[in-house]
Amino acid sequence: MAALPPEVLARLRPLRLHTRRGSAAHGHGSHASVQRGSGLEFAQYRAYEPGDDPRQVDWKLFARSDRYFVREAERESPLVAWVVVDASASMGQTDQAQPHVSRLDIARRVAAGALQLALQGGDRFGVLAFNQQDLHAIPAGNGARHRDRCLLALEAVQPAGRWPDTQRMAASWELLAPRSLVLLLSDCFDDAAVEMAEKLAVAGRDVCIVQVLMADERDFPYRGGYLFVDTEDASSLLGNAEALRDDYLKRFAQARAALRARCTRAGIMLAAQFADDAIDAALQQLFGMQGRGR
Amino acid sequence: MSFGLLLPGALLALAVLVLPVLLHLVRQSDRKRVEFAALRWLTTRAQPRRRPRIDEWTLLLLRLVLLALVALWLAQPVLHGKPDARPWLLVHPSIAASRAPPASSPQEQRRWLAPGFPSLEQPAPRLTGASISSLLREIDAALPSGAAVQVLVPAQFDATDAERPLLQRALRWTVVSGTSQFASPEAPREARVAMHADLAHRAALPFLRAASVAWASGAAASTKPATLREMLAGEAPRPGDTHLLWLAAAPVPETTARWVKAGGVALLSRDTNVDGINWSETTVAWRGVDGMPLAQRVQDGKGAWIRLLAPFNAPSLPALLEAEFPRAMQDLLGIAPDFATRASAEAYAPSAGLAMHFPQAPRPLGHWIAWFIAMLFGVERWLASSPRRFGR
Repeated sequence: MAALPPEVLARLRPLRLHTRRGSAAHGHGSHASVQRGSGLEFAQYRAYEPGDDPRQVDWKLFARSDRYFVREAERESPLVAWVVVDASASMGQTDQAQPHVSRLDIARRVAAGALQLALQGGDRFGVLAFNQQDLHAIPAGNGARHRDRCLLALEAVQPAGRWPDTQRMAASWELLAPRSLVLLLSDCFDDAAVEMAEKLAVAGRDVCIVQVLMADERDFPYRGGYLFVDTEDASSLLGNAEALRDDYLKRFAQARAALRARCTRAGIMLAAQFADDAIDAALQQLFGMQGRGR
Repeated sequence: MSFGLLLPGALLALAVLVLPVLLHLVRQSDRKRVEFAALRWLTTRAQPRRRPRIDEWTLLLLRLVLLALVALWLAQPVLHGKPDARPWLLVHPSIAASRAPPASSPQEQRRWLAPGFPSLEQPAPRLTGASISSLLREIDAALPSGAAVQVLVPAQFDATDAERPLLQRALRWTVVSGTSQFASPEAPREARVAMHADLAHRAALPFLRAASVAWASGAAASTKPATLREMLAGEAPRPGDTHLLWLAAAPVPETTARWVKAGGVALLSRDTNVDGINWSETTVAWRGVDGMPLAQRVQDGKGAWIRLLAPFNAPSLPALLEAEFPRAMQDLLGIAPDFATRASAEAYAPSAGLAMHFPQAPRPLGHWIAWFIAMLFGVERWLASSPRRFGR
């Protein structure tokens, strides 16, 4: 479980998770971190001030100390952020330049950044990672230890298989409560992933997609003959890279544009994260000032 | 001079030359495999060229040459009949290297007349008793008949056969006058053996007395007569004594230890103790018929200690009962009779005229080819693993 580099943490510090709908539905203007008020989690005692509700005075403490104290509790943030990580076999792909850093590794780092944002905002957060065989889920919680628990769970995820079918997915839908923020980390090459995001968006979740792409997919730096293999459906293609390059780049750009249009229609925020980008590139795009703004 | 193969059948190994050619062909169609999830955006129109093509001609050629050389090396190539007419100079180790005549030609082989024929530039080898006659025959058989051989010998030397050597060539037999292998032509010394045994070792006395009788009788008569004298208790060896048999549990007296340092040889029983002797640095002096060591010997000053490793009685040392025991004791004490192996160099000059001609062994070329193979293999590895290949 690699910690984020300090410069990335510094760049992430001013950022907060926010949803398109905001928390206006709950009547609070912002869900900024720790605010005192009534709630479940006890925060502190403070001295009674004129105007305080007498019901908030801790009368038992008054009986012991002969002074008026008011119980304060931490108000819970209404936002629940879910980091959903695609763990299908295509997430195991690596770049030629960095053969030991897979797409899943990039997704883990972005997830770490997103959890850091949730932690800074005092939001509750959880993690969901799945493929055809496995489902790793950490229920929503908050605090630094919960963040570490989530990152540890992500560390155990191995890329394998394909995107799960809808029946398997249904189980995880219950976790993703309405009005929660869903951050999907995937390559989005599988249509089923985008379809799920669309369904979630229609069903009232605030969905963001970070499309994790490799530098080789963007640049196609291969030269000579190659056997290109798709590990998910075991199909392969033997070809001369130079001859394939122009056509591929055109079609790949078209596919990305089509995905962007599709997301815009569904009200999904989309950001691309390339393997050689800074770790916080996509998060800045989604939640930073140059993005949608507050 | 001609080229030959000792194992021509090994050339069948040339069949493996097909392998590198196949490898270079197969590599062509087996393209590099790469994981690529965005496969759906690749079109299948552009097929790579499938025409059989050989890439890396230099590497292929190098590998072919390498394998051909290995096959040749397995076939053991030799070079026949290269006459080696270099003159030889052989010097007996008892003659100083400085007394050797200057080289008659730059190619002259200057060697010691000793096993292995070490170069004259090395220090003189020790006289190990290797037969001079045998060495002369060896060099005569090994050298082609055209090579001239000069031998420097002292006026008298040891370790000869009983016959003048008969060789195929006429040696230049140079006797260096005024030298001898022996410091002085001395008469063989009489061996005088003193003996002491305490009560516990009395059982050994009859065997030793019998052995001494055998030494004096005709069966083992020697040029060095040996006498056995039994010492009284507390008596030290006399100055004339050469050997001592000390069979007692008591430690050896100081006077006896000094006598040994001065040149005496003492045989001890197993339980005798001597101060200041490191018994771990010994040589085995006597082995039984089954090869088990029976006595060990350690040098001390000019003399030596010999210690038996088994109790001196018949059950523990069955060799006592054997007919060879007197002779074995003689060998152990170093008083065995000499055979006549000394000769005067003038009288021992080898004669030429041996009709037998020894075929010259062909000169093997295997090690040259092995070196060449090793070099080529290095080049092949360097070419095959250079980053240039993977940069493409």
